[in-house]
Amino acid sequence: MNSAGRRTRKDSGSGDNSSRTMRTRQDSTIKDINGVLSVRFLDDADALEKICCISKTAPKMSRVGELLRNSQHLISHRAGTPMSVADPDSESEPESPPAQPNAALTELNSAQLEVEDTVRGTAVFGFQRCHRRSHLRRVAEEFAQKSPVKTAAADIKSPGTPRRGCSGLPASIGSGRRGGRRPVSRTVDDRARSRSRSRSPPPARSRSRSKSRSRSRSPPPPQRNGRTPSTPKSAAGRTPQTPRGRASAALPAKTPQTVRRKVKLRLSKLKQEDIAVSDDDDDSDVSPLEDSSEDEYKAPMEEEEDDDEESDEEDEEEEEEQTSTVPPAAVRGRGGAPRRRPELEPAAVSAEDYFSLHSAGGPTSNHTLSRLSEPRLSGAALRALLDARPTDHAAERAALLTDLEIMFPHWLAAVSHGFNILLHGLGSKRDVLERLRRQHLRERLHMVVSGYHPSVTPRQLLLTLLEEALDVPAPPSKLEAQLEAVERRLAAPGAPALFLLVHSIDGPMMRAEKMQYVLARLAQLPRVHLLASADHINSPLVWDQHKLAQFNFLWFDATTLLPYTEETSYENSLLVRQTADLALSSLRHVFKSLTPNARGIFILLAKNQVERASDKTFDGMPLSELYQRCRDAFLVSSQVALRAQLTEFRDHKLIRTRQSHDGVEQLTVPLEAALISEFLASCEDS
Amino acid sequence: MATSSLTKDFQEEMFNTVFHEMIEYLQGSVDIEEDAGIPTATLITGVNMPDHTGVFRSLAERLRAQVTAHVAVLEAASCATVQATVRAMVRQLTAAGEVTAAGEPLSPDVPVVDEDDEDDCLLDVPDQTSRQRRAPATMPALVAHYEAAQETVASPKKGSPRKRARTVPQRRPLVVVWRDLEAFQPRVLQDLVLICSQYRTKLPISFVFGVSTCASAVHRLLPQHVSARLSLHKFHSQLATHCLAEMIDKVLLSPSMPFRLGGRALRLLLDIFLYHDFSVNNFISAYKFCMLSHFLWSPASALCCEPHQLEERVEELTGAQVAGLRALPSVRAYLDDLEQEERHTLQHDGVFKEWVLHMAPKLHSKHEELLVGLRCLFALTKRLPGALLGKQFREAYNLALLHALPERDEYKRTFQLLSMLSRQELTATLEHALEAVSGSGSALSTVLRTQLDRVRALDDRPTPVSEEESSQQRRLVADTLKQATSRQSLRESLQSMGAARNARLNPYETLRSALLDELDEHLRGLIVQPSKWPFNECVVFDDVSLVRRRLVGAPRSSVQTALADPAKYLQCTCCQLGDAASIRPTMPDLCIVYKLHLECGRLINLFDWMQAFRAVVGASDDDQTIQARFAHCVAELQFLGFIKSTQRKTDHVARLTWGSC
Repeated sequence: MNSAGRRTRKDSGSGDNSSRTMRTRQDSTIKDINGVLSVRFLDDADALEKICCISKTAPKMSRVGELLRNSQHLISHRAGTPMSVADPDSESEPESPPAQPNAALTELNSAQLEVEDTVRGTAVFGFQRCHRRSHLRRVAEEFAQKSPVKTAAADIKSPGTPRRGCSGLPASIGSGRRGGRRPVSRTVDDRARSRSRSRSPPPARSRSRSKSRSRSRSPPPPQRNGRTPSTPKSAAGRTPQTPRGRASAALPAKTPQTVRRKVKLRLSKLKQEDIAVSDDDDDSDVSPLEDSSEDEYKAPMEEEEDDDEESDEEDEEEEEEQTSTVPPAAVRGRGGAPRRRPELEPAAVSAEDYFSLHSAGGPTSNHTLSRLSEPRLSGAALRALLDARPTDHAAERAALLTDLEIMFPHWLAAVSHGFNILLHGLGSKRDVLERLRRQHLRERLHMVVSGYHPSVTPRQLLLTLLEEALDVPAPPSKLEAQLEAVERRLAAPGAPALFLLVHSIDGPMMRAEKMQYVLARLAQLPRVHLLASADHINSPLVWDQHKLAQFNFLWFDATTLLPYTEETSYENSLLVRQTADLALSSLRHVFKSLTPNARGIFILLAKNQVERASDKTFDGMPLSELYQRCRDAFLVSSQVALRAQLTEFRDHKLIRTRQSHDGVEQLTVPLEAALISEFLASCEDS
Repeated sequence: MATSSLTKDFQEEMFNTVFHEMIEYLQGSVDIEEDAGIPTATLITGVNMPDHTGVFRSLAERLRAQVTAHVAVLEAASCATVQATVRAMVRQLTAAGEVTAAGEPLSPDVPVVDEDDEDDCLLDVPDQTSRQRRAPATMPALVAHYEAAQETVASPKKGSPRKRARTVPQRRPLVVVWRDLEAFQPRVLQDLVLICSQYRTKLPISFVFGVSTCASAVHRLLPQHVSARLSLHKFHSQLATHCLAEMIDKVLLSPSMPFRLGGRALRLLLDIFLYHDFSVNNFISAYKFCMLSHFLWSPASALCCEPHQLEERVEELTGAQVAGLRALPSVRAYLDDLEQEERHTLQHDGVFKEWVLHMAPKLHSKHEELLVGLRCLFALTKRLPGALLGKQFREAYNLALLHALPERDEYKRTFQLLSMLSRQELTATLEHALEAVSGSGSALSTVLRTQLDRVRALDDRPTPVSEEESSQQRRLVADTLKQATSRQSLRESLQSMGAARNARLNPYETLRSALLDELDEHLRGLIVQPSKWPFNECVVFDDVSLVRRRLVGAPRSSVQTALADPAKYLQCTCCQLGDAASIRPTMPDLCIVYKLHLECGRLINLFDWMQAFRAVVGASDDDQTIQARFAHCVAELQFLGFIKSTQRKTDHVARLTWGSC
């Protein structure tokens, strides 16, 4: 169906141009209500569309029912045969008697036509939202503070780059530095507040937001999640997302009768053409690229060209209609429903969204975490609090895990045929791999790599592999040679099969080219079986085609919805107070290996920074000033020598240089003042 | 499974011709005079990178076997600097030389050793490496080694006389294969070329460049003064699509293969190939996966075996399996068409097994018939305009698997077009069709042969219109013309006359329509969609959604589905969403936090976000706990890549996605 839908979209896209021009003309005359206008247009289109698509789907349903029945028989039979194990993943299509979809369709039909004119435009929001909104307002009033809002353009990394800020740092000192990079101390807050106070007061939060929404020409496209199987309500899925400021937009503006009739006529014509064009391909006959992961990132570009957003939406609506005919209640066996449904696809991500997100600097309030009694909990406190709380959905999550356990033999079978396994899906998959290890791999040679750990390196991985797993007494030190040693060792006759379990193959340190190269080389070996998990949403970008072919992955949806406790414990979370121990100890470690003169230079720099910690305008110590002071202290004799020392510091990430606006190099120690003074104190002690 | 050997043979064969040419060129390269530059064979391999490993491996093997023992295959990943490259090159050239000189069999993974790791190599393979260790990996060492090797070769008693006779040239070339030239550092490449051209007088070095884009890439990488040292020769490897066509013909359609891909699965695999990677290796791997899952998942696959094993297998069927077979959709459909009595007798297991034994072998013959019919039809359409069944046989095959082809427009149109062919064209077309099916020995070939004979035997001359008939006609025309009173009636009468004349076919036309009808009938009998065969589930695998989920991963959509609607995974009643955008307090914390963040713009105020979270989850917990829950969720979202920290504004995070995802 997807492919048909796509074709339809294109066709109507080209045909709809004239109605579009008409609309734009109208837009110029009735500027204020153009959002509503397009909504009204959609109404007409939808009414037609719905009827058409219902009549289109009706003959199909019997086939669907048949298919379902077939699959049920297959499954019930399979359970009895010795060679197969019940597979939650393969075929448990929701079972539905064929009469039911038809009934649902007719119901939908009437409901749709009834609702058509009334619901559209008036937003229906859940109770929770209202409740939340009122709560928000209360909070806002409590902390009422007419502080101005001005958000500069945030430098959002393009979603194409999967790296997070902390990825490239070496393990030894990385965390310390990372901790220091965030100026989250109280002082900065104050500064920000004092700076912002000087500007004019903004409109109230809700107002400003609704304004920014209504500025965009058409209502936001339906949430892609709107395709949940909840038939009659689907109309609500299309209403604009924001609850704020709906009142003004909800007033229906009457489109001139003539225009409406014209549009109706045109759309009906288009519809007929579409029906003629779209062939009766099966739903699942989608070109593989359409729901491949890469497509996600291509989607914006594609849709950019597809300039007719309206028709786009209509088509999505149609798809929604068709998928929704499968009643959700009948779903048996977990995992079945979502996995069967890869068409919850990113196709609905429109390029427009990207630009609306980036053009309008969505104003945010100036509240800071300092309002809380304890802005940042310590890691230990956080864990204690979370542990004390019973987890929700414990039974369901356990069921998810056991369902995955059933798959273990299949994974091992696939692995033994030269494939490698990649698990994806929400939730920590550590437990899954761990269970696999405990249940099946205890007796076999295996190695676990914790990719989420910030200090994994390819060399370390290979060394461990050679020394611990393969018992090579004196492994070579060069990466290439190590790889070859592994290859040679495993190519020898009688070598054991090696199971490589990699948690978070897309972890911060695992994203490096070198690491993936090593893993791909290893995965290629016939005796190495790789079972890995991927967590980051952009993880497929790590691999190019060659690597993917080397990995030869089979993808398994292993959604567990378990908390990423272990994985996030290494991340410097935004809301967790950094314990300084690690940063400090790594700093000391490096410091010990410095020459006395170099130590002197560093202490000089650090002291200067501590002294001027309260100075808001302090941006770092200029290089010339540092040179002067160092010379005075007989630490260096020439600028060249100083630069050599600084290069070493920089290599160890002890300092950071920045060019100020007038081109002067300025040096800072990337740690918080408190940390530095603690460090200085400990230096003086020793 | 026999596929692996099948596919391997086939890959070897595919590159036979181009390798043959290259080897000839390289063998002759020794005699090229020295100032002509380094003889370089540029092998244009195409963009199907994943296949190249196999291509270059077999190239190296062949070079070792036929041209010279001195072959080095360089890869960009291990050649970051000139030093490393020279070392890798010299190591491989000398190592290989030694092994053959010692008369040992060559293995593709001859250990290449670095200075640093000699110790462990000593333990591993002391015999070979102890010799290697003496020579440092430099060009002069290579020269010395080569000269020594030449001497030993020149002395008799080494190698079989036949082999020596074949590799006549006294100086065997040193071949350096650069895999994936574009990936090398231009500097390294240039320096290496210059260095090697310096040694050209002493060493007969020749290069093989593996280029995946186009030949001009060499000139883009090398400036003129460097490329002048090379004498380039271009070789084109087989197109990946050709390989695929061969592969499908030899493996997928081979009669010895009991397993078949269904139409939709095949289409998916072809789409992955055509729109994704062009990699035959990946296609093979996907095919292997299909086969694996067929045998793992489908209980009916018990009958998917060679015909001679069938009896045994059917004997072994348990009661449950028989019931399963009886429940197969195709079997049920077949049974429903049978008479009541017959159906009743088949309820008995023993009778049913016999019936299975009777029906199952037909699956293979039916596939053969389908293929013969299709090949014939494809040959017929090949010369018609518009490529009705596609330009490749695989397209026609896929179409026949997906649909009942004789009912399709393409089929009807083919016969319409065929019925317009002139005699020469028809003869040629029939000859083609005959050629296509002649190997099969089916009835269709005899039909075609007799048809061809009939067309050829047809008397050339147009049947003479008898004299009296023509005079009669003339009179008739004159009469009608006279009768015409108005212009319109004249036109009508003329038209009707013309139609009457057209309706009378000449003998060729009658023969043609008769032939085509006959052909149509035969083809309709042969081309039957596999899903109509009873027991087709035993041999046909068509679970396309499973294949897609496994081969084309969509990790992001699974994450987003779980976040937006966790009830789909949890299967709980408490989190069912009426509206996709709504939030329920019972949902997992992460989902709530995620959904709240969807409502924000580029920057998200952490404090407000937390307040919103608190409002949703209610006051069940104290502030600290809610804060902890929220903090954990934010960390998770950061880990998943939805947000990142930002310094733009205090206590804000930046969103990394846009829209409703």
